[in-house]
Amino acid sequence: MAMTGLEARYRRLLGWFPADHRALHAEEMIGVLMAAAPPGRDRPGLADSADLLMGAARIRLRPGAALSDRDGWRDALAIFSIAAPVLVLASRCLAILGVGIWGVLEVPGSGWAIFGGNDYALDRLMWGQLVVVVLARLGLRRWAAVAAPIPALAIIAPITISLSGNIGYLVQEMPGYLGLLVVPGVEVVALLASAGPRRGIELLTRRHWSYLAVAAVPAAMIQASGLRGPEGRLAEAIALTGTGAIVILVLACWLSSGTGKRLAVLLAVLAYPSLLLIGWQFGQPSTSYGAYETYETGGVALIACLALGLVYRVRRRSRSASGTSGEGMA
Amino acid sequence: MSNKPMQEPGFLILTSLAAGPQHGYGIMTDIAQLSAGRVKLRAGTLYAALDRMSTEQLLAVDHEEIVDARLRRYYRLTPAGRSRLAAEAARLRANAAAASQRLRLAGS
Repeated sequence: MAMTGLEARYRRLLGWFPADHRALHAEEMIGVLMAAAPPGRDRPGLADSADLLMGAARIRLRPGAALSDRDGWRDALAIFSIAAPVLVLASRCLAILGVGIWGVLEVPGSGWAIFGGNDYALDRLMWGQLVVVVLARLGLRRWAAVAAPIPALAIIAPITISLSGNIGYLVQEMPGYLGLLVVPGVEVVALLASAGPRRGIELLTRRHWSYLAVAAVPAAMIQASGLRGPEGRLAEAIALTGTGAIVILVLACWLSSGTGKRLAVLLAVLAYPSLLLIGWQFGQPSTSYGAYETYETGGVALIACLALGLVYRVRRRSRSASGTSGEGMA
Repeated sequence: MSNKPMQEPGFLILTSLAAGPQHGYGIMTDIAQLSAGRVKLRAGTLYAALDRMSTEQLLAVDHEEIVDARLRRYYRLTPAGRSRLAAEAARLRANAAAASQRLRLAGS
C-alpha cells in the first residue's frame, strides 16, 4: 500500500514515542489513526497531534521509560559532550570579537551599556570550555570531565567559604552561583555516561557543524549585548529569548532523528549561554570576596589539568607503541 | 497491583475488553458507544493507557491479524485485569449508592 501524505505525517508524529514503543505499536497505531481519520483529510488534526504528543510524553515520563532508549541517549550525550563546549566557546569568542570591533557603547543616563569584553568570571568559564574541547578532542574524556567544573568551582568554593558566616546572604546568593555549575555539570554527565566526544564527532556531519556555527551567532549577540542593565530584568528576558531562538534553531536542525530529539532535550534543559549569563548576573562576585584571585586559582588548576591530560596521552601512546597495555581513558 | 482509583479512560478500556478481545480501533469505537459519545479516546491516549496497563499486567495481547495491509493487534483482559475491573466497579457502585442514599435523605 502506497503511503499517503497523512500517513507520513502521522509517522512523523509517532517519532516522538520511544523507539521500543514504536517498534511494538507503530504499525497498529497507524492503522487506528488512518481508520479514525475523516475521509479526505491530508494532515493530522490539531487534537490528534496534541493527543499523540501527550501520549508520547506520558510514556516517556513513566518511571523507567527513559532507560528503554539507552543507546539513543548515549549518542545524544556523546554529541552533547563535544557540541556544547564548542558552542559555548564559539559564542564567547564571537562576543569578544564583536565587542573588540564595536567597543563599549553606553546608553546615556540609562545605566545600560553594550558591553561584553570584560567579564572576568565568564571568560574564565570560557577558558574552561576550551580546555574541555582540547581534552575531549584528544580522546581524554575523563580528564575533560575533571576540567569542566574547575572554573565554576574556583569561583563558587571560596565565595561559599567567605560567606559561610552569613547563612542568609549565602542562601540569597548561592542559586546564582550554582547556575554556573549547570553547564559543566551536564557536560560531566555527558562525558562520563556516553561513549564520549569521539563518538559525538563521528555522528556529527559537516552540516551539523555549520548549524552549530550559525547557532553561535545569536548566542554571541546575547553576550555582547551584556547583562549590564541596572536591574537585570530586561537582560534576563533578552538572554532567555535569545536562548530560545538558539534552541529552536538547533531543534529544527536535528529533530528528524531520535537522537536529535534527545539532544534537543539536553540543549533545552541547559539553555547554556543564558544559564551561564544569568548565573553570572544573579551572583556577580565582587572583588571584596577575593574573586580575582580565585579566578587565577581556577586558571592554574585548568592548566594543570590540561598538562596532566597531555602527559597522560603521551605516556599512553608510548606505552601502546611499545606494546604495553594500559587502562583506556577515552 | 495499584490501589489508586482508576481514571475513566482506563476503566472504560477494561470494560470494553471485558466482553472479549478487541483491537485498538474497536476499543475506541466501543468506548464511544459505552459512554454514549461522551468519551472519545484518541490513539495517543489509548496506546499510552494500553502500554501502562500491559506493564501492570491488567491486559495482554491476544492475537494479531492483517486487515487491508494494516496490522491489527487484539488485546484481552488478564485475570488480574478482570479482578481490578471488578474491584473498581464495586468501588464506583458503593460511591454511587452512598451518593443516592444521601440525596434521598436530603430530599425526604
